Amino acid sequence: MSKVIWLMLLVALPVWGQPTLPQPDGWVYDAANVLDAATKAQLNALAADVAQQTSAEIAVVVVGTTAPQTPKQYVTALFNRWGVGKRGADNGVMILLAVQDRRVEIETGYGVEGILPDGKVGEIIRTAILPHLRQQAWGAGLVAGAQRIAQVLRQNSPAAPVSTATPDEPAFPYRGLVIALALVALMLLLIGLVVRRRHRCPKCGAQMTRRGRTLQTATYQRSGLRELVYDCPQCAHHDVRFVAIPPRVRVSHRGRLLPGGVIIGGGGLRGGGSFGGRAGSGGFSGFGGGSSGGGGAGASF
Amino acid sequence: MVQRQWMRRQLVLAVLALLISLPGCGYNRMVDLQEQVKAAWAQVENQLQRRADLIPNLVNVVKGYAAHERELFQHIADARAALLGATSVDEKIQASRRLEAALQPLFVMVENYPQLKADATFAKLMDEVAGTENRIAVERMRYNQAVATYNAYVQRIPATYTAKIFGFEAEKPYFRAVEDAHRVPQIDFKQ
Repeated sequence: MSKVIWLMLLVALPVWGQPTLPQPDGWVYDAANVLDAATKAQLNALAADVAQQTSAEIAVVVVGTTAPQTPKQYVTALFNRWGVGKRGADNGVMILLAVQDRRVEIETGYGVEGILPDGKVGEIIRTAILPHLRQQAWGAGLVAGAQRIAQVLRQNSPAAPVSTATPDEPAFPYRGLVIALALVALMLLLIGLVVRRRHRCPKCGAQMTRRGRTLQTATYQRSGLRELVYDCPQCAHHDVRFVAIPPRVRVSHRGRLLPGGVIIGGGGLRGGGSFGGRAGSGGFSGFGGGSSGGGGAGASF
Repeated sequence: MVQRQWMRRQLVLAVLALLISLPGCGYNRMVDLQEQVKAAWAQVENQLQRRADLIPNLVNVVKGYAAHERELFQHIADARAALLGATSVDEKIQASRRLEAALQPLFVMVENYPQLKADATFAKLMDEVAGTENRIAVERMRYNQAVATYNAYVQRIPATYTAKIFGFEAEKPYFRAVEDAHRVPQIDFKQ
């Protein structure tokens, strides 16, 4: 019995080791339930507006506590898990309010560190956000901060909506496959060279002609047989070989080779973390896959 | 004649076997992992450089209010020079820890100077310093993750043999933060 418990503990450990992070359900995420519907709508509208005008993304998150992580560790982890900002442009900003920790953190994506340097973010926190938070006006503080950030983002982006195409292509995903294919090609070439040697006449070394004839075609169930006749054009050396043809294989729709006519139904694609345009969440359709590296500022209140 | 041909064929087969077995011995994966460690380290170095660039500005502002703390400024200047002079990864890790330790008393000292804390330039600089410390923490974590993956792979069979043959490092150094000093400096600007 105790063995079973130990086993369950072992299975559960990895889950404990990794703090759970929530899934986004809009530009605003309020786990502490301190924002009223009007404030949420206002923040959502603002973020949607900025996203449409500049392609930059603002995420607002309210939690009770971030323990066991520090608020900064939490906001960095959550920013990169959600992927705030467009991939490659990394033009996202995340505002985190940890009510019980009495801490506000603003994390800037790599792409906006230039227009929102830490000193500027710190100044926005001190002048626009902290006065409200000290009076427990959580919503007003977040709105004021988001407005200041939106202002900076709007001033520093082209007037026309930025194309959603990313400047940096994501890393080529099939690199391993290409290398594997290149290796296979190289091996086939080498094997071909070795096999070719067989086609030289063992007596005089001249290249022999080869004629092939299929005696039995391969099916999905059994292998076939092929007859190869070699003739030397110089010394009339004659050789006959029989080669087995491997059974045919079907290629499934997922590109995997399957012998013997078995087709395995493919599983669905894993959830990609993006949502369809949800009514009421201000045109939120998932974050763009941006990343950050701990930039920004924070303050206790 | 026939024997020579046979030998030649054996040779080709041997080369073929070697080519096939190399990826199987983890050579390619080891190269990939090593590159990841190098890339992660480059990110760490960027942030260390950023911190080194910020320090003179910070020290200058503090000097305006606390000029008499000469010994403290000298320690920081020495540690910063040591970091900029370091070449190997190990040296840089050591120098960076020394600089962190030298900076710590500065942040403690600042608490005694209310006028300094009220200085807007100082507040912004502290934001930059804190942000840089956060960035170093993030890049250090990512570097350590890359090192952990590399070390775990290289020390296992069969990669450990391949590593010896091709001269891969058996263990890359972790970048551990100075105990107690890994906390981001917090100056209380409330008053």
